[in-house]
Order: sequence, then C-alpha cells, then structure tokens
Amino acid sequence: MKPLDRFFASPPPLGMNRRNQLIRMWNSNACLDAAKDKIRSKKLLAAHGIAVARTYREIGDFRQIALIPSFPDTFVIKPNRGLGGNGILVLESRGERFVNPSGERYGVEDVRRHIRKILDGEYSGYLEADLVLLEERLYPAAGLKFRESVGLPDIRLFFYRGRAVMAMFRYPTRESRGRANLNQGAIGLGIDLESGRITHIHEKSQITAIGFDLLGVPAGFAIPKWGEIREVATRAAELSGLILAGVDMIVDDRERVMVLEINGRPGLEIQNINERSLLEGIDL
Amino acid sequence: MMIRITGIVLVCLVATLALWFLALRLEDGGERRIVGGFETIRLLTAAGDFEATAKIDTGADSSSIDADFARRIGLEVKYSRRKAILTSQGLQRRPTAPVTFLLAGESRKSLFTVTERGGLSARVLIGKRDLEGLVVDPGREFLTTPGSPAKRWPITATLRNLAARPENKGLLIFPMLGSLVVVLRLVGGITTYGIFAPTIIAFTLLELGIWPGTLLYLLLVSLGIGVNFSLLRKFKLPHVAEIALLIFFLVAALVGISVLEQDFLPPVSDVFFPVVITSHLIERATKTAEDHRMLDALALLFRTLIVAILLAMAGTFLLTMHAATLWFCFMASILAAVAAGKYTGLRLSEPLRFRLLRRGK
Repeated sequence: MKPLDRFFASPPPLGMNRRNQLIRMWNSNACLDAAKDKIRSKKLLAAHGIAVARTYREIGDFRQIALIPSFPDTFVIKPNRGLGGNGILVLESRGERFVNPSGERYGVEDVRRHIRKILDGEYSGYLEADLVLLEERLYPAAGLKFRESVGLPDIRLFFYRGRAVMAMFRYPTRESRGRANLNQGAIGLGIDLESGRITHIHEKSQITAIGFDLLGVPAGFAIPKWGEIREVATRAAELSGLILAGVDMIVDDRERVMVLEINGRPGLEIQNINERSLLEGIDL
Repeated sequence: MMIRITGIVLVCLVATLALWFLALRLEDGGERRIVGGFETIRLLTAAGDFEATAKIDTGADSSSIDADFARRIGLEVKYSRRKAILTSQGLQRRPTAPVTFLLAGESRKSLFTVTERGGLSARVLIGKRDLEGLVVDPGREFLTTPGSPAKRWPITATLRNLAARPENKGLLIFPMLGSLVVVLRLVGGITTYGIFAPTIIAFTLLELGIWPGTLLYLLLVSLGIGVNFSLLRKFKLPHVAEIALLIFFLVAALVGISVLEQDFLPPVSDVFFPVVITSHLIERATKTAEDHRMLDALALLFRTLIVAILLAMAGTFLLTMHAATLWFCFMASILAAVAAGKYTGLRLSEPLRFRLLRRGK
C-alpha cells in the first residue's frame, strides 16, 4: 500500500505513474507505432472484416493536392498520426467553398493550408512529417443522438490483457466544438459493461448526479448493439497487439458497428466517469 | 515487490552514506583558511619540490616570481606568452610561467609572471587571482604550512575547485534543477511545458532576481501571445517561420526594455536560451489556445512559471552552498531523479483529480 492510497477505498485509482509503467512493460513500441498510424491500422482492421471509415484518399505530398479532381460533398481531413484529436477538420462542400459543422467557412486555400500544416507535422508532435487522410464522414445512429447533437459521439472501451474492464460514452457538445474529448468539454457517461446501460453522467468531469434529463437520456437507456460493440472492440484490441488499449467505437446511421481508433496510451479520466477504479477486478 | 523496494531503498541509503563520507572529506578544510602577510609555499616543478617564502599581496591581481629563482628551480619560462601588467612603475610586458604550487594545504594551478624580484622581501608574490577561498590577515605571518601533495586526493581538490567558482556552480545546478522538475512532475503531478523550459526560465530569474525576472517574463510572454494572436497568425505562416518571427520580436522587446533601463540587458549568451525557449512556449500556448481552450494554455504557462520560480528559489539556496554540500546535493539529485522515475504510486495531485473515487464520498 502506497502512502496516498489511504485517501481511497480499496483499490485506489490507477494513477499516471502506474499506467505509464504498465505501458512501458506491456505495450511494445512497434504496436504503439502501428496503432498511431491510422492508415495502417484501418487496413489491418478492414482485412479482418471489421468496419472502419472509408478512406477517400491519402496525401503524402503537397503537390498531390492539386491533383485531387474534386472533393467529395462531405468529408473529414485527418492527420495520419495526429494526437488527441487535434488537426481533424470536418467539411461540407457548398459550391466553391466549404463549411464545418459549427458553420465556419473555409475556402479552397484554407483547406490546402490545413493540409500543408498536417504534412509539416504540426499535429503529430515534434514536427515529424505526416500523411493526410481524406476520410468518409460518419454520422451517429439515431439511437445515439440526444437533445443537443453536434459532432460524432464515441464509445471508449478500456482493455487490459484482451478483456474490456471499463467503458464510457463520450458525447460532444457545442463547448467541446463537436469533439468527443473530455478535457475539451465533452460529456462523459459511464457504461455498465454487462448491460450497456448508462450509469453516470459527468460534464467536464464534474459530477451532475445521475441527471439523465441533462441530455435527455431516457432512464435505463442502454447503448444499442452493445453486445456487438463489445465483441468487435475485443477483436480490434486483440489485432492491435496492445495489452493496455483504449478502443473507440461508434454505431453509425447505417447501423454499422465501427472502430474509430485504437489508442495505446488510454487516458485515466474514464475512472472519474464511472466513479470506479480501473484496478477493480484487474489482476496486475 | 516488497523485496525490490527494500533493495532500492537500501541502495539509496548506502549510496547516500558513501556520498556523505565523500562530502565530509571534501569539507575538511572547507571553512575558509586564514593566511598572513607572508606564507611558506611549496612549488612543484619538473625538477622537484621547492619551498619558498611568498608575500601575500591582495593589491596585485596576478602572482609573480623572481626570474633567477624560477630558472634555478626548473620552471619553464615562456617568453612567447608575455602578459601586459600594470605595475606601480607603469605598463610592463612580462614573460610568464605555468606553476603548480601548494598554499595552505591546497594545490593550485596558475600562470605566474616572471620578473626581477632580487631586492624584494620575497622571491614569490601571490596575487588576488590565486587567493580564492582564503582570508588574508595582513597583520600576521606564517599561519599555515604548504602541506604535501601526496596526502591529498587530487580528485578531491578538483571537485572542490569545480564547485567553488560561481560560473561552475551554475553548471552543477542546472541538472539538479532538471531533476527537481522531474520529481515535481512524477511525484507532485505538476506538469510543465517540458523539463527544459522551467529550468532555463529559472536561470533567467536567478540572473535578474526572482521577482523582477518574473514580472519581465510575464510581460514578455503576454506581449508575445498578444502579438502572435493578433498579428502573426493573420499571415498564416508555417510553424517554423512563426517561431523565427517570435524570436525577432522577443529580441526587439529586450532591446526596447534596455533603452529604458540601461543596465538591464544581460550578455548575449545569457539571453540565447531563454529567448528560444520562450518563443516555443508562446507558440505552444497559442496552439493550445486554438486547439483546446485558452484556459488550458494559461494553466500550462502558469504552472511552468510557478515551477520556474520554485526552481529559482532552490537555485538561490544552492548557490550559497559550500563545494562539498553542493556536490553532495548533485549526487543526491541523481538519486532523486532515479527514485522519482521508479515511483509508481499516485501523484500528489491525483487524490484531487480522482476525488470522485475518494473514500466516504
């Protein structure tokens, strides 16, 4: 028992130091690298029959932008090795121009500049050159939309040694600028692993009790297709080779259960969302 | 697990004791020795050891030796490396000789000037430059013995000399402050913008004084963020160009301030690192503000500055230390960094972060 553990009921929460130690111990650099590489991990998942967002185009060179005949009606621009959802741009064509979901306008020049920034590595850390991904825009299933609906919510499952140990539903808001990122103001909802039922709601990691009315989530609401989500996520975690993994899932408007991303350095905020320690039921 | 922890603790304990022992050895004679107006010194040359009476003269900068005597004891006099000396008789250019000598039990290396001292009271004169660490009581004479070189560990003297000079102290303190940042992050849970930013800022604060330095820093960073947001971002330049322009801006701002405050501008080499790291800091803060929220950016800057102030305080304290204690702390901070890296318990900030999981909530 460590000194600070006495603040908590047993077991204490999984802390950053311990998590980093587990990552160093278990997650090989090769697997971490592969998971970060969106193009590569999407190909791997697709080869095993797991649904992922369609790739329209990969751009590895600034000159290629000029060769793009036309942009799709609506699409997503992503840095291939982006960190924490930075650098992702969701766009809709409006004639010669584009708009993002918050209504900001982008000219063709702005889009090119954004692509150039990604290529220069501004979003992949340490200014490493990166690839750009033009991807299909996904919409959430009707069953995953509540009162306020901006951006794409996702379901994060935390895996340890191939077993899902905790899950949460991340719901983007206007404040989070449509991103499902908790520290940017998205709402986190705790999920019961067995039933897929929502158990807790937290906004900005502050407790708002089990106020299901906040979002208009009906009492006793369960994530649709929960069994399938769990099963697909488990297979994806296994394919990634990561022992400690966060798998992000979505059910889209065509009722496809899809993997959005696999994270080899999953965050610990999920414990606050579920008001439970990750060490519960884990044999380290 | 338990055995491993006990093992680590034991290793740390033994290492600390060993270091303490070394520190004590270093400390022997660590308090300032008093020398009189004349002292016996021992000159170590290729031809052997020679004792001589030396006049201790705080009115002279460098030491000098009589030409005849120097030749007799086999010192190598270099006529090619003459040195301009301002004496009471006017400017002279004197030949020099590299000398190793013992004074008050301590070995010193120096460059003596060679001159005619035949009619003078002593054949060797020791000037200020070779009296570092000693206190002179001119009313008394022959208070010390030169000591013998064999009894001393040369490494001990080197270590002591290295830590005794103020500029070397800075060199020793730099990694110590770095390991303090590591401890604050891994045990305290205070994240900063990298480990170098707070350390380098701390050095600027030490240079300028903690509070004036902090004010200047806040001024520069807020101006920088303002310029970056309101001006530079409008040009939509690539990342590297933006940083280059920020460096221009920071240097211009520093020059501007020095127009108002003449004595302010530190030597160029001293502003180098702070300027580079500050421009990165500003760039990063602007990016954080764009990608996330302004609050996150300010929080990161604030934490970095707070840690830098803490480091500057620690640095002020370390600079006052004796060589031996400083070396002890140097070694101890290596252990501290290792121990912090091995620490897998909760960080001090985590009971707050995970307060929803607290007992009895």
